[in-house]
This record gives sequence, C-alpha cells and structure tokens, in this order.
Amino acid sequence: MKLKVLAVAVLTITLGAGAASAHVGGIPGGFASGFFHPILGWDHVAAMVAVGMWGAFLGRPALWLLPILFPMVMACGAALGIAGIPLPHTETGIALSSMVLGVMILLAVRAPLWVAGIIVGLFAICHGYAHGVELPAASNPFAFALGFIISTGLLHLCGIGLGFLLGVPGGKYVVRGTGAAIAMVGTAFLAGVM
Amino acid sequence: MKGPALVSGIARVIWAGLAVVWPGAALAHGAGSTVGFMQAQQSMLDSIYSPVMLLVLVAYGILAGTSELARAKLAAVFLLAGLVVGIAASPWLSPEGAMSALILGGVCSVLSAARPANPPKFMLPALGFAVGFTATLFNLDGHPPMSLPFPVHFGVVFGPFVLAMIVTGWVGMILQARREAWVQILFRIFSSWTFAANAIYLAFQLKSAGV
Repeated sequence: MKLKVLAVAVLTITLGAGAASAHVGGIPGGFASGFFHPILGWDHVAAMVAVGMWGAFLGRPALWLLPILFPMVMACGAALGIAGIPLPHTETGIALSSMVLGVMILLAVRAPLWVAGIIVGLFAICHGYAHGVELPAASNPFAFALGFIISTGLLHLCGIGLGFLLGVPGGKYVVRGTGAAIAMVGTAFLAGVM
Repeated sequence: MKGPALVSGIARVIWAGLAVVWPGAALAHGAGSTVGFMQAQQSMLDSIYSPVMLLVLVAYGILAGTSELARAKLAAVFLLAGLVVGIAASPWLSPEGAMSALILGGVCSVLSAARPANPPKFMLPALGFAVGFTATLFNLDGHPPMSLPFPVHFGVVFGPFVLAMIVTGWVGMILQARREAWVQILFRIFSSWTFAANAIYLAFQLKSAGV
C-alpha cells in the first residue's frame, strides 16, 4: 500500500513538470532558479527519472551508484559549460539520453555495472554542459549550485520511487511502460517534435 | 564495544552542544561583554558563513565522520594544526587560495562517495591539515600574521574547527546509531551532491576570476 502511495506521489510530481523551458535562455538567480532549472524541461526530467528507474531495475549496487555518479559527472559537464569550453551535439546527447535510457528500461536490459556507469556518465556530461552554458552569470552561484544539485537528486529519487513498483504485482509493466514513455519523449526531442 | 562507542557518542554530543550553545549565549550577553569576546565571536561567524568554507568544511566533516573514530580524532588534530599554521602563511594568499580550498572539498567528497573503499591512512590527516591551512589563508585574506587583533585570529581558527567537528560528530553519531546500509548510502549520495556543488561553484569562481 505504501509503495502504491509513493509511486502515485512520484508520478504526480513527475507529470507536474512544466513544459520544456529549461533551454529558452539564461535565468540568473539563486536557489530557486537552480532548483527549477532541471525540473522545467521534459528532456531533463525524463532522463534523470530514467537514471533512477534504471538503477532500481538493475538493483544494488547500481540502485545507489548511478544516482551518485550522475550528479558528480554532471557537475563536471556544467563546469565545462561555465568555462565556455566547446562541446558539440549536447542537445542531441540529451535527447538520446532519454531515448536510450527509456529503451533500457522498456527492454529490461541488465547491463553490467561498468557499462551502465559509462552510459549514464556520458549522458550526464551532456546534461551538465547544457545547464552550465546557459547559466554563466547566475547572481548567486552557491545557492544556484545547491538548488541545481538538490533538484537533480530529487528527480533521481522519483525514478527510484517509481522503480519500487517492481516489487508489487504487475508493477514491472508500469515501470517498463514508463520506460517506453521516456523513450518516446527522447525520440520526440530527437526528431524536433518537442 | 558498545561502551566505548557510547562514550565517544556522548563526547561528540558535548562537543556539538558547546559549539552551538556558546555563540548563542555570547550573543545574548553581547552588550555586557568585552570587545575582544565580540570580535572573536564575530570572527568565528564570518569565517564559516561563506560558501567556500561551508562547502569545504561540510565535505571534510562528512569524510571524517564516515571514517574510523581513531582516524577522525587524529585528523582533527591535524586540522587544528593546519588552521594555526595558516596564520603564519597568510601573506601568501592569492585568489587561487579559495579555489584550492574548493578542490580539497571536492577530494573529500569523492572519497566519501567512494565508500566503503577506505583511502590510505595518511590521507585523512593530510586532508585535515590542508583544509585547515587553506581555510585560514582564505579567511585572513592576505593579512600578515598578528596584524589583526588576537581575538580575530582566535575566531578564524576556532570557527572552521568547530563547524568541521559538528559535522564530523553528527555524521559519526548517526552512523553509530543507525547501522543500516541505506544510511551509509545516504551519506554517499549527499557527498556526491557536495562534490557537484563544489565543482559548479569552483567553475563560477574561475569564470569570475577570468581564468
């Protein structure tokens, strides 16, 4: 029962994310702008939730290793973006991240831990870079960084929460269905529909 | 085993309690206190209420708190030594001082996130010394040794030390009280967040410094 309530809450939060406005331009500010920056874009939301879900699907240690790896590598990508170091095709990488991770969940791919780590790490650089490029002049970098990281972590937790549905009867269909939806979001971004 | 752990827990509670209560009491009686006391208190607060110090000391505190108690105690001595030695070296401060402190915070976070792997024995004391040293360099902002009143130096040394000890104590106590795997994982995840915040803040600092 608790798992169902948790899953419904997570689903509501995830679906409540705004339109893809994360990349419409720089949003200077502090904690709030950092917090909402990853949340206000379907491409980011889908990928970060997918990381948590895939981790839950793979089980321990991927369950906690992927959500640890993602923000650390993402921050390095953000640093590259802030520094203005060119990194081509990041938007394609972001769209691909949703598509690939969604397919992994849909097909229940049990990749080795190191493979999962490399896949997630590569996509994390793209996500971090995109954020970093757009926010070189945040008025309060400390508050922005905190908000940015916390919201990313919470999105992973949403994914892990959804992944707990695997423990209830029929839950794996919901999880794999969500993976399909995430893959479709990624494909739509890749095709330029969204 | 339970006895020593309990005693160590109580000692940590006393440490944390003193650290929290003392500045509060000092503030309440500020009007009647000496100028030196107020300077020391203000200096303590100033030396920890900066993003760089918060990020670095919290990262170090988590690393020390997740380490063995004996190592954490030894590292605390080295941290204090670094803070004191930093006073003598303060004229050498450059803008890179803050950045090197952030890098140290990043190293601490990576080591905490990589648990249960233990870093070499010398690592934690060495990091403690380096964190203390750079913290004093950062907080004294290039002032030569003893060019500021003694209470300011006192605050610069004890502010970061007390904050680091509070974080170390709380993390250690939580891990002693709750031995479930998810608590340790929680600290690893939190360490990855502090690393990320460190890296992003460092990038902003480098950008604003024109590097």
